[in-house]
Amino acid sequence: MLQDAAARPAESVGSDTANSSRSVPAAITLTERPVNRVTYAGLRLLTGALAKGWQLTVEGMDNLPTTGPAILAANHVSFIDSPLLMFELRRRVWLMGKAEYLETRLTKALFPALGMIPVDRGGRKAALAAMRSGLGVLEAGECLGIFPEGTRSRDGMLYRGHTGLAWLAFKSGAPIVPVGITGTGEVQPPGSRLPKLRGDCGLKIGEPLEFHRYRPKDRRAYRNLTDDVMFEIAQLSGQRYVDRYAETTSSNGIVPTPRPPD
Amino acid sequence: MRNELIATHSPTAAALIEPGGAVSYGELADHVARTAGGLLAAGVTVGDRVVVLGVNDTAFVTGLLAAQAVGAVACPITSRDPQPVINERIEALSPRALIAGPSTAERVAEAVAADVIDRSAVGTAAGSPSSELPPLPDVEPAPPLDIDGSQAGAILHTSGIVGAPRAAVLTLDNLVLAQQRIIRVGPGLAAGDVTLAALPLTHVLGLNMCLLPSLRVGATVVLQAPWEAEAALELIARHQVTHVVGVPPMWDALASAGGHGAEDAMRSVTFARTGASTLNPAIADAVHERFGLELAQGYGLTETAGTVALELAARRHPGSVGRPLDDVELRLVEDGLEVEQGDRGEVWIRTGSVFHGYLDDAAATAEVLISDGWCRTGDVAIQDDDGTLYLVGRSKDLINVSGFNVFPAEVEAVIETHGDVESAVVIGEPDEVAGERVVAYVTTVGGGDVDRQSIVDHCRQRLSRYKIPTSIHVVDRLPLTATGKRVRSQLR
Repeated sequence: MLQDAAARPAESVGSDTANSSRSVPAAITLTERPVNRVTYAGLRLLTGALAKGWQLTVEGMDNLPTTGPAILAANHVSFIDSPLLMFELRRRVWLMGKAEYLETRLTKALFPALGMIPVDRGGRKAALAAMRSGLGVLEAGECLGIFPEGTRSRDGMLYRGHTGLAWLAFKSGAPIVPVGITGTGEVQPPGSRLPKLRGDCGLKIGEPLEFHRYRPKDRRAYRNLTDDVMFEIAQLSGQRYVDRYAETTSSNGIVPTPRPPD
Repeated sequence: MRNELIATHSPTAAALIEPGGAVSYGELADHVARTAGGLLAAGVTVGDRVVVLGVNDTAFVTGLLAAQAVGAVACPITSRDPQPVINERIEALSPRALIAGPSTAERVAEAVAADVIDRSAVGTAAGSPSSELPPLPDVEPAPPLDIDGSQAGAILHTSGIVGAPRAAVLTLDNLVLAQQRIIRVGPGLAAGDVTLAALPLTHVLGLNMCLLPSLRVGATVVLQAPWEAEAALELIARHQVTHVVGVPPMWDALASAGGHGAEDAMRSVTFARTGASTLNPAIADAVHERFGLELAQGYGLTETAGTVALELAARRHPGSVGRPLDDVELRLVEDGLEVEQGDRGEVWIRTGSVFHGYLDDAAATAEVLISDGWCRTGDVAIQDDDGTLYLVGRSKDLINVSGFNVFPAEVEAVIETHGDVESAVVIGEPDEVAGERVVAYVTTVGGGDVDRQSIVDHCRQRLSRYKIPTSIHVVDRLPLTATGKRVRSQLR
């Protein structure tokens, strides 16, 4: 079970969310049941213990606002990127993740409990529901985590971001906090079932980006804003940028990219 | 099928107005028929090329129409071009005849001396005699001929989708389909309208989106050469012009020209159009504020015989060129596939006005005219949910900074909003670390020096980091085409 998170473009604000083959909840509730809190606390402890072995360093924590809505935009190279963002920062992060997790028994119970917002990567319309849920998180003043590439990078390069990120930023007015994740690809590369216990991982949190200069009425603003965020992520992660979308491995029939040699 | 080039329903109505006076539709038809007769007598037959050399005047219009009337290919060349350019173009066209405008004797003499045209093939149009140039044979007027619309009708020089400037061959059908598009759109174009033709008639916008559609419907065309804003306002007022087509710098000049009379002068205008290069939204705002006019912004190419998309009110979608017009299919393509909605892609066009090909250049033609009638434009754009098109830049101008795309047009537009900068051209130069870096060449208001750091600061507030120029050069003059397009290759 591998974790991917996605933020597909969802620009058409007015259109409806029909035609999803999966049961994607149209909205999430931010009130947690006790069992979720227990699950959350347990996994937080586990991640904390593992992070010691991974020699996790977090730089720029002060850049993450402690209150108010914020969008955390990170590169994505490993399954463990998600728990690191969820548990190792100074505030609770609601992550957007692929809807495929709702299809297997373990993750179906676990991931929504942790505050994951499922994103159907099968199409634009289906993704809209997830984008609205993400907007709901921001409107509640919470911090939303996104992997703008929409999937993990199979070769370690940084790929083009989906413009759903810009939609969320324009709609919510929330600042975007770029995050560069390093070293997790060695701890648990895509395709490996369990993480190694030793590693050298880092989270670099950049300064919040304000986007008042953009005019959302101009369609080009969405792509520009998204590229700008990817540039900042590249500066933090040190990855080389490739201006095309990363390919997703999923049940949607999309051909997976070959794994890099070990 | 008979192709009526100009309206015939009202012979006494004014067809052309120039400083020397007005020419009625009847007179124009007579000039054209006599000039066509002269061409036939000179041995011009269907498919031959006829160069028309001159500026925006009656002789030029007569020559173009006469060439088409005998089934020849009209090849307009402006006598304002430098002699080497004129010679080169004439040589490449190898025309059967050259119709020379009244003030082109010197140009013709040099072309003859350079041996690119035979003196015996040169003549003036009927109704436009010249003391220094021979007239075409004065014989019987040519009878109306049936011309096949799939025949080449004009060859226009373009900055070119790929590589160097090229000569685009347009069929009569190409030309007419594009004209009909602009006759139908928005407030429309009809007899009774008065069009200002200040754009060079050698350019697709001036020729096929301004002059020819006006003559087709029986409107009056006011010819202006050379363009000058104050004089244009006077012409507009005197002749109650209803349609004004100009490139963005012309609108910029109009919006800031004249004294208190300018607002009154423009009162007759019902359709204000622009095209050929990117419109700074501030110009649309200024035109609206000054004249109460909504400026329409179009998108088109020489290779599509003119406008294929039009935003009737540029202020409504700032930065947009509107939606594709009704008979135009448009796709945005990257790596051979249509892009996701909202993503950048190269504009592909399919419509009846897509050109026949480049003159004597099958390789370049094959690069642009691909399978199933699609034309690759080389322009990169983004489309809104409702099809509204936003141009991003030219794919060949793309600057790659550490893998990120920088389109010069965006950077230029920002630099030009700096108060001390008149215009800017941005190019990429090789960089060891980033692959390429962004470099700007600017001309300043008043021509003096400028605080480069203030331009950088100005950009910093409006552009992301990797788009900010790493060096700025102040120059006296920037390489621009006649319609204001930037010739970036000259700086590379």
